[in-house]
Amino acid sequence: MELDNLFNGFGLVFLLKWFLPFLFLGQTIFLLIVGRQISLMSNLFKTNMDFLLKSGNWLLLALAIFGFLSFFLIRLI
Amino acid sequence: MALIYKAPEKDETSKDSKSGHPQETSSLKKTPPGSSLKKKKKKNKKEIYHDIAQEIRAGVGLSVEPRGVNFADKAQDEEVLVVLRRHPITNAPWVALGLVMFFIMFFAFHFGWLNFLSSSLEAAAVYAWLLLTLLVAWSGLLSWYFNVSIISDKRVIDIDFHDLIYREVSDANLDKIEDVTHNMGGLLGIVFNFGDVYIQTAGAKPQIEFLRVPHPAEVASTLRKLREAATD
Repeated sequence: MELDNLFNGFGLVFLLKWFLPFLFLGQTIFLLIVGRQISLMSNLFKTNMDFLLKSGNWLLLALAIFGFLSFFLIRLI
Repeated sequence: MALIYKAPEKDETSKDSKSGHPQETSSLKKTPPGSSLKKKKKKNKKEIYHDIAQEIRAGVGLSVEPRGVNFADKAQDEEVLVVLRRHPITNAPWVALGLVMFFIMFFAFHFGWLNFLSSSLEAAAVYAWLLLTLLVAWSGLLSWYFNVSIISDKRVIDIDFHDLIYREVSDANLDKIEDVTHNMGGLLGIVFNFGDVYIQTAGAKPQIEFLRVPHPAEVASTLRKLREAATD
């Protein structure tokens, strides 16, 4: 894609198209860090809720990865 | 068991000892004389700790003698008396932010703010926004859940968990507590009865803080009583 063509359609839609995958990527990285922190904190302070927290984080991580992949699956970019 | 059966024959053993058989009596006195008394004292101390802990009103953010709570470096005979978290009302900012973010989406649909987008991009934008809303709520919840203060029958432990990335753990033995102060302030603090408890210690970290915990006066009073019981 040439540089002229790239910026021809510059606008909110263009920004959103490029911003959303990075947002999903950021969310995925954030949730990976949070997942690691949850397991570290579980070693430090263990309760019956640990399984629930870990499951919740895995669910959110799956949603974030799905959001990121959806851009490539339905060729939004 | 043999000792139990021989107990009624006290006279006989005394007779034996008199008749030059001291072996029986020495086997009876195998346990050191002060050990059972010590055990009793220790048990009494534990009971005192539990009685003191029972005086606090339990609720959300303050659980008395919770089950299934374990923490690093917990001694085998150590028992958790109280687990404290911030008062639930302190979660209001992230709950409000989450709700606002959630309802903004309905406004966007109602007023057609996303009409300029293609349907697939609109779906992706809504999905990303919803996920962001969930993450705001999730990080708020985790921050509340892992910021925890524990009072056990041996020590006080404060686990601080900042911004989901930093954490700080400090603890002090009950007998190392020097001074306990508490403060309550602000409209919400007075209405919902929460505040800060500061524990001055003789340890490496001079002060342990329980911030925005429910019933701060009761918590401070309990800590004072526990310190007195520990130093007795």
